[in-house]
Amino acid sequence: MDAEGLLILCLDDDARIREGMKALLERWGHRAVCAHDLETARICLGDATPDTAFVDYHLDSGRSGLEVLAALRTRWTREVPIVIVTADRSEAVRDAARAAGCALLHKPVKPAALRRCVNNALRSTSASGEVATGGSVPGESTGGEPARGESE
Amino acid sequence: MNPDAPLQEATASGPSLIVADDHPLVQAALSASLRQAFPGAQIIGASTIDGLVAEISKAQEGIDLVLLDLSMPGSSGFVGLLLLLRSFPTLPVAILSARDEPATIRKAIRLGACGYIPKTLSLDAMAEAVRQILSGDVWVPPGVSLDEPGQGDQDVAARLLALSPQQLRILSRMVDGKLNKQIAADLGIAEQTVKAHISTILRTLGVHRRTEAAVLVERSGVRP
Repeated sequence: MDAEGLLILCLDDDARIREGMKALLERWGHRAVCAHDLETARICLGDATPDTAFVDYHLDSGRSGLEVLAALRTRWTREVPIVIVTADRSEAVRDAARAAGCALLHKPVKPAALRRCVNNALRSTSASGEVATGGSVPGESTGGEPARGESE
Repeated sequence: MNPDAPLQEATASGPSLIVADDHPLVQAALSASLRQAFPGAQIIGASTIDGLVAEISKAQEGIDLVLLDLSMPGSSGFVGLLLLLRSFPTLPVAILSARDEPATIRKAIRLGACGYIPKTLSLDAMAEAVRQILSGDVWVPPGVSLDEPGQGDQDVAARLLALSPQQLRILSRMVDGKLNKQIAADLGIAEQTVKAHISTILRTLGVHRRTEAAVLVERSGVRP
């Protein structure tokens, strides 16, 4: 049987993105909590700290995803690997993500890239990183890399 | 690309794939088969790790999947895979290999590969494996179980994972027998910097000498 799935926050103001990511994450055996703003994220997460979070850079209502993230982080009990998700391919967003220590995924989000990010988080949260079973069955996931920027 | 389609497996013109294998026949056969399986796909070939890294950097996140041969020059077993995974944290990388021992497959997946495709597969089966990987599955050959870690495997894997991309580049050249001066010239850094990195690498791997580091790397993976 699978190792415990991760608790994953998806913060995006586009319902199709939230639904699409939720479907994939659940297929891989994880629990996805979806929200479109700070308040909803707080209500849905409650006291829990997610294992990883996918955060839209350009949220509606003027707040950037990074601002909402900063507010959420004050209540989290440990470091959470964050992936910024955005259709914006500018250097500015790339730099902002790097400065904030976040990985970056561009929209449209590719399932294999999403899987990579989830596996990175799996490895950084679980001690052993082991997950069972072989074959290409949906819902299998395995240990991967921590998604941290490296400076030489 | 259609930014209105929130999630998709490939752009409308087909996926961008890199086949990294230093055997021209393998590259040609696999590229042709993938082009047939994925109309409109862009298939880029690479025959060294450095060349592969250059192609990926050029494409700026436009690559959907890298198929990496474990025995390619600069690969040093799993060091090449780790270098890729650490340098490009959102890039899917699957292994292509002539070897198909379950232990090797398990190690590759544990380190973060999105799949392990033995070259003994038919081209059709390979294309299907690629399709499944692009859809987000982790692909291994049927019958390979992923839940039997050896304690020794885990230790070596954990130590290799603690190295930075630059340290992995240095380790790979060290294992290939290059002198500090050559490594420094290769990477465009000072020899002093190489020496400092090597001290850290040896300490991280828990060994005292370069030869021991080479043995560790060899034990951890595949040698051509």
